[in-house]
Amino acid sequence: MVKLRLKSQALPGTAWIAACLVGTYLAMSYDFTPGKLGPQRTGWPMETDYSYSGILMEPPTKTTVLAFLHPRCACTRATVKQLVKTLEAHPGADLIVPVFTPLAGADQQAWEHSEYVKTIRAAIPNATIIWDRGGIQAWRFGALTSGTILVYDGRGQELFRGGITDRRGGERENLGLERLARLLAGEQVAEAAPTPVFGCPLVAPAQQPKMEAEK
Amino acid sequence: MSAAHAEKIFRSHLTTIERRTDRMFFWLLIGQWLFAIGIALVWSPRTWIAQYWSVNQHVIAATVLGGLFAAYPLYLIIRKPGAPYTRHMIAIGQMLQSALLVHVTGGRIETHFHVFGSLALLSFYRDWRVLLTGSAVVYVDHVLLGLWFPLSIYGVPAATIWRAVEHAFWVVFEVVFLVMACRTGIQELRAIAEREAALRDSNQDLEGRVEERTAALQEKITELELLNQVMMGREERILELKREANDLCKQVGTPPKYRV
Repeated sequence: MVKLRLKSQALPGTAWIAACLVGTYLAMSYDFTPGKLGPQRTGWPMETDYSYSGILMEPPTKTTVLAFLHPRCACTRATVKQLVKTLEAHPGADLIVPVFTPLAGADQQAWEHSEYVKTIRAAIPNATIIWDRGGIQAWRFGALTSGTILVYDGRGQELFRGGITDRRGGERENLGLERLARLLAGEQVAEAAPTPVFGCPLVAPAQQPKMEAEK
Repeated sequence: MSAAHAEKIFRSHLTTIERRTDRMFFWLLIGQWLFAIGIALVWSPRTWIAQYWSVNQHVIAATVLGGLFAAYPLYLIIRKPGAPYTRHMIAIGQMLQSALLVHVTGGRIETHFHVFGSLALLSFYRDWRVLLTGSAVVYVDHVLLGLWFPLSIYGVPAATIWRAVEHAFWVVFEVVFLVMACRTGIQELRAIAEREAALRDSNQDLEGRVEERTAALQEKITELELLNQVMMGREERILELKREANDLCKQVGTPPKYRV
């Protein structure tokens, strides 16, 4: 009788625990699966056949941080927090923030009205915000995921590529953040693989072949 | 005093505590589930692919997973309140809800306080085994996270890994003292039950003696009432005789001899 009762209890309990494990795995895989970075670049992209002009056409003359952000992605909050904290601790580098907005057919003002942009402007008044229509610049720089941080030196050489959060919306310390801080502090950081970026895609997959063709 | 009586009282008190704690977790599990959904809706309602959005996975996780984590413990609380199996499943569900809250808040360190709070709440059962189940869930959660997503451990600097070890130390620290508190709580409950049993036994003795005395008094009252009745009967007979004597006096023409 006791054995039977134990069996009748253990079966639904085991099934429940198994379902919880599967659910947890699925939920965590969303949090810990990094986004795509896009084509790897070694330096400042010099292609001139993009029909877009502006500040990003010329390579920088001093250490410059590029932060590609989606203005409505929830994960951007953590990236902005980490970025502002690091740049406040190590000032000196230029900050350029290409913020995604749709190409057309959307209320641009509504897209440009972003709390994240306000936070950056309030914390780093010298930051340059540019509106990256359709994610063209994100594609050009190989930064297909919101939260991608690129660091270039004064000769346009890429020093850092990757994310600075430990997971989607994660605010814990992580290797990307550590490397960025060390670079901005003037330390030499051995070249390493890009750190994972957790955020929303800046270019829709359907749009990518079209952009590749236009390149 | 009988040990069996004390044991019975002890079990009764313990069952009351266990069922009361079950009820507390019933509402807590539902509350945490709704709280996780609320957090996800406020913190990360949508996910975007360029200009296209869909409901964020955190909202889905909070709704579906939160419901799943709470469902089985809630069912057991309704069907088998107070059972050891129920509270162990509650411990698993509660710690999984902690993990869910950490998940929907992007792994915020502050949300990890929920783990410590949950362990403290589980100690309300005064069953140290439940604390071990809760701690095991925390441990397994971290081990699986490391196995499934090495990035969650290896993607952070060594200092952060040591901080996780530090957190584990504080969990162990808390559990050690909670286990001690549980054991003390049980000992105190047993002592209370023994005192209550002794008091009840003493009351029973007293009640027995009161009953004996009451019965004796009742016997005396009955005797006195009988005596009283006899006396009353005799009084009546005397009056009757006096009246008869007076009647006889009247018949012989002499005045009545007695005043009646």
